[in-house]
Amino acid sequence: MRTAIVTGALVALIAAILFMGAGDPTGPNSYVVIGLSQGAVYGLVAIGLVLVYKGSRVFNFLQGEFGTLGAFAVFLMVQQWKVGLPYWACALIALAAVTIIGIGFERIVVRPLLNAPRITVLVATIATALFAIAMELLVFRPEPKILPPMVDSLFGKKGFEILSFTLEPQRFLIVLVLAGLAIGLGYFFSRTDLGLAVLATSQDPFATRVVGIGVERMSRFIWASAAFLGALAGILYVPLTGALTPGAMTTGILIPAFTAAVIGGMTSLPGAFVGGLTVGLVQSLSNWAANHYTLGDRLLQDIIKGAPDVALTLALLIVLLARPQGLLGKEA
Amino acid sequence: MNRSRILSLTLVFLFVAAGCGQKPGVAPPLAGGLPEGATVNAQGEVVDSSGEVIGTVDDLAGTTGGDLTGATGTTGSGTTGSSTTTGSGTTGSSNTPTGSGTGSNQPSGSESPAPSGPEPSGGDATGVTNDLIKIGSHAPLTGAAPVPSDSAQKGADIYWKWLEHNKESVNGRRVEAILKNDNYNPSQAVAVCKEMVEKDKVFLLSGLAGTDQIQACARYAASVGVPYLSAGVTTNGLDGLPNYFATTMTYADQAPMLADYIINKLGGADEKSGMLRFETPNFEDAHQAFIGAMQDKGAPVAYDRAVPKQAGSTEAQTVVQEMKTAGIENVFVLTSPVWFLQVLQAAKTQQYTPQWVGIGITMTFDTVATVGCRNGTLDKSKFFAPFPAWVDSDKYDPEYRQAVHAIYPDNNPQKRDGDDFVWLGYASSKGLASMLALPGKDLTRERFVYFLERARNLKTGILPPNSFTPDDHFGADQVHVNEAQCSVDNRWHTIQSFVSDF
Repeated sequence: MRTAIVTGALVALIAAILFMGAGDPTGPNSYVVIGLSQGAVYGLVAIGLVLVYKGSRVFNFLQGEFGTLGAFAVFLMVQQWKVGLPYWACALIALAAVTIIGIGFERIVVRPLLNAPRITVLVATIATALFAIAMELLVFRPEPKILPPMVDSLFGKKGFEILSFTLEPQRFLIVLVLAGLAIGLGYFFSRTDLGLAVLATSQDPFATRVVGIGVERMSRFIWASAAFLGALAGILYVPLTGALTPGAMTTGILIPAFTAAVIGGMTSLPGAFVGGLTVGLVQSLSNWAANHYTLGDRLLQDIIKGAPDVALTLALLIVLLARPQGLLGKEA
Repeated sequence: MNRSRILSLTLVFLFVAAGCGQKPGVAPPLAGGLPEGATVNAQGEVVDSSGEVIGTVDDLAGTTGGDLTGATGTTGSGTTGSSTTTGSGTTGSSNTPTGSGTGSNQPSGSESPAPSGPEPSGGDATGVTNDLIKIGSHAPLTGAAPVPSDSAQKGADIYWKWLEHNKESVNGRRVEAILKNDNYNPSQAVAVCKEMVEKDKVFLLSGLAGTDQIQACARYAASVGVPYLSAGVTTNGLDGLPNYFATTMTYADQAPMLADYIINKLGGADEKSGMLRFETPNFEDAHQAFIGAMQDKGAPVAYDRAVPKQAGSTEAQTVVQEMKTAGIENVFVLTSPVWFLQVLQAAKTQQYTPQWVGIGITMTFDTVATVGCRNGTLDKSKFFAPFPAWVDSDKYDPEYRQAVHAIYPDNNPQKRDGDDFVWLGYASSKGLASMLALPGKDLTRERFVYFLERARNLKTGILPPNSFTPDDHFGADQVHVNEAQCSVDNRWHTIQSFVSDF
């Protein structure tokens, strides 16, 4: 019920903005499209963050690097080694490789810390992310690399003109993937035995073990899924950024994605979806407003430095003050 | 003396002066710049493609404007004249600026300074021994404007190794260069500078790129009395520092030149121009200078946009949409290269192809051109740069490639001639060598600053000539103009050189 209300409110808000900006070429309409498309990327990463949090109560700072590693894996096969396989096949191999890395991380780092305080695991994810960035720098060097998009056209179109803004096919694909994942994972955690087992593990590992569910197996499943989702986000998004650099997903996406996850509710997968879109919208519309409205004879951007960050912080504060568990969050 | 006799004498004087100043057959081809295929040799002579001497660097110096290469990439002289390659001889010349060279060969040309005031004797010689000078540099080897570490290290070392290879030195001393990563972060820049001063005991510090990092490190260096040299970025917080020297033009000085360039060369008087910049106080002087200059020329900036330094893809798409909607045709970009690449990608998606222009150092690295050409709309972008494009290095100093081949032999055709980072390092070190030689054998920090403050027209033939005074530590007034030629090789090419006026 709450999901329907929040989603309905978001849709109504967007509709109101679009209505106000209708017919104005300098109005906010195209910025709504920018915000939603970018928000989809935040949502995609946020879903991975929420998955790990739901399953293990850990803020996973490694999530961005799963994405960067996935993008570099595709870069190696498509650009550097030119293995001759279709792009999608390279993407599948990259997804598998990063998923194995996720399993390895769980076995080597997380499993020994299973009974340690959660803050210890959090620090371990930070350390591993920094290690991964260092390795990327060592292997791939810091200069920007080119990673072409996976799809040049979708439904026979090379671009989708929406409200005077051209959306690349790959960005459109991200929106579709995000929506599919939010629905699919929502179903998984509420309707399947495996999903319920994952939730049970996060709530009370001892009780879960007593009823015969392997806590280690659940932990492995969670981290493998998180790595897969992170890699998927990186492979789909990095080609749209213009350049692939070490730590690209961590430095550019992880913080907004965390914000999205918190706004949506750290335990809610649909919340990650809604939170991602909210963050994207707030960023984009505040960008537009800062360069559109004046106070006296000065543009807002000259008065409020970093207007998008200020707006995002305000949005986060408002949500947390009104509902500390996030828009759609609840105890798992 | 009546008026007609004065007039006659004046005319005679002018004819004689004109005759003395020109060599028959030389001045016309060089007045407009370096002719096609011509180079400057180690003796400071201009030679044509067949090796025949057709003039000297003095014939090139002092003029302004003009093209090295035309839009099609062929060389030729410009319509407005140009000063082009100046300076000379990496090796073999004995052009000691201060007369205290003790038999060493000086790498670059300069006019003898005219010291005024008491010349300091002795002082702090940290980092200097009888046979060694230790210097420290910082550069963003990671971060938003990354320089490849192996190329940067090669660039830091190559010139000094080339001197050793040729059995040459700086007043009997070899030079050891230490390079550390500042991560495009001012705090880390100060940390590595402190480490180089306190632990490595370097004689001086230098900054390769990154305004905020250079400013932070220069202020630290001033606090501990260590000379600090960098590319010119901003005067904010740097003007008045006793030990700081800028060897290229600051952004604020280049910004009005860029306005001239947009108006006079790109036909921007009747077009809409905009400025896209990072929100940092250190870009504010350049921002104000550009806005003011455009206003003065009757072409006020129609789009003036600041974005946070942490800007990402959302901001890139937003500004592209704004500029496209506003119909901006010329865009002055003053941001990090990595974010600019995101803007270019967004521009490509939106089919937005303005004339991109700019100033700076990191923007004109070839990696930006390579990615920006393939992923964005960088073609024909024109950026001011303190150093000419790497592909044109032979036109400015043929010894560069000889040095690379000798010091870093590599059979890989793509690596054989180094890259633009090595090229910039070579050029910077060449300039620094001439500066380190100024005080003679008695090299202390105090004497280095004293002599550098009085140096005139220090030339490398690659970087703009430097002249300093005790009151002015910003020593350059010329730039190169580099153009991204995506249809040729996805690299920057130098289309004008040593220009101070458009």
